[in-house]
Parts: sequence; C-alpha cells; structure tokens
Amino acid sequence: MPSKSIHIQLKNCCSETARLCGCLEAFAAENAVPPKVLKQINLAIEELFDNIVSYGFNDQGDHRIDIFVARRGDTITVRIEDDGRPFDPLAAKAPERSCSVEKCQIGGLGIYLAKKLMDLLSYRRKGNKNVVVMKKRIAAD
Amino acid sequence: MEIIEDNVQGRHVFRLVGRLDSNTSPDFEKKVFAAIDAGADRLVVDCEKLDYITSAGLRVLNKTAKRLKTANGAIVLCAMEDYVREVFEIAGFDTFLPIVATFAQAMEKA
Repeated sequence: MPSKSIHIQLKNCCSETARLCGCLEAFAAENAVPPKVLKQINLAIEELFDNIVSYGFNDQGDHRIDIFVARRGDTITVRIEDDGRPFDPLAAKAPERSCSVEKCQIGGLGIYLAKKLMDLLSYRRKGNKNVVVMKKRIAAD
Repeated sequence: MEIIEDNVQGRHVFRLVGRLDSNTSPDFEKKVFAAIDAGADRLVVDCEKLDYITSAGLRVLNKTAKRLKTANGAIVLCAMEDYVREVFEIAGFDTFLPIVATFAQAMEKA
C-alpha cells in the first residue's frame, strides 16, 4: 500500500467544508479508503472544524486551519492544526446518551461523535497552536 | 443539498437529498419550522437519499421533535442508510426519534 498524504488548507469559514469533502473524496479514491470510513473521517474532521470556526477565535479576522491526512498500512491518521485559543476537545464534557427529547443535551455532541467514530483522538498545545491527531483503522471486511 | 417537500395523505413529507451539515441545516430548519407554523404536525423525513449528517443536522431534528411534542404532533424518520443510522445511534437520537425502515411504515406511524 503506497503511503500518500494530503495537506488541506481551509479558511475559518463554514462553507469551506465543501472543499474539505472534495479533497477527502480524492484522497479516499487514491488510497482505497472504503466509503463508510471516508464518511466517518469526514464527519470527525468536519465536527472539529465547525467547532474551531464557531468558537476558536477571539477576533473576526482570517485564520487558516491546516488538515493533514495520511494512510499508512490500515490506519488513517488525521492532524488538525489551528491558531485559535487553547481548546482541548478531550476535556469537553460528553452529552448524556439515552435521553428523552426534553433532556437531550445538544452541546458537545459534535466532539462526542468524532471521539466515538475514531479509534484515537489526542490533543496537544504546540506554541500558539492547537494540534489534534485522530486515528482510524480500516477494519478488514 | 436538496430538500423536497410534499404533502402525502395528511403528512408533511421532507425528502432530504445530499448532505445535512452546518451549511445546509439552517435552510432545513427554516423549512421545517415554516411548515409547523403553517399547521403541519405529522412529519415524515425520508432519508433514503441522505448521504451524510453532522451534529448540526441532528440539532435541527432535536428542536423539531421538541416543538412537535409540545404540539402533540409526530415526526418519523425512514429509509436511512447504515452510516447515517450509525450517527443517530451514537448520538442516542434513536432513543427518542422513531426511525423505521420504509416510507410506507413511516406514513403509518406519523
């Protein structure tokens, strides 16, 4: 399996997710990533990206969010870097599962989905950047 | 994404085509709430052509279910592909949103 990686640069604007999706589709086609895994990775990245765009920055200015995706063997590794305020998604409180419609806590749902869909999610603050690394193994069918 | 609205046997039907994410959810929310404001209280959401959903889409469905509950209405979702269904299950939304296999079952249940 060839080891290829891509680097996607997104602006801090929600509509950038269409470009993200296109880049990931191309990556999946080149690296034989199954459609379901592609969607899971796309969702995990998109949830974290939406979160960064909505809450990550103290100013109204332009920022760049860097996304690196690579396949090595049967593992896809995703790294997301942003220069927003420090935010550790692992410290975010999980919403309560199995709840009635009235009690359903909607905050934190996106990060919860990302954690559940990926096999690993890690965070570190490096200089002025948040660095999130996620890994997803492609299960043999 | 394309949102096709239809009225079938007294049910307000939404057919979702494509991706329900943070870009498309506001439009879906607007359309659902306009329908409820206009008196629709039995909703069927046909997910047969829904490829992808994020927490933004789930949020709209949660708000809709809450609103319909106070109005004694009903919302039923149907025909989800495996991947979309998995997202609903992980989020725990299958515990309070009725999800059935076929459109016919949804029409019966709504």
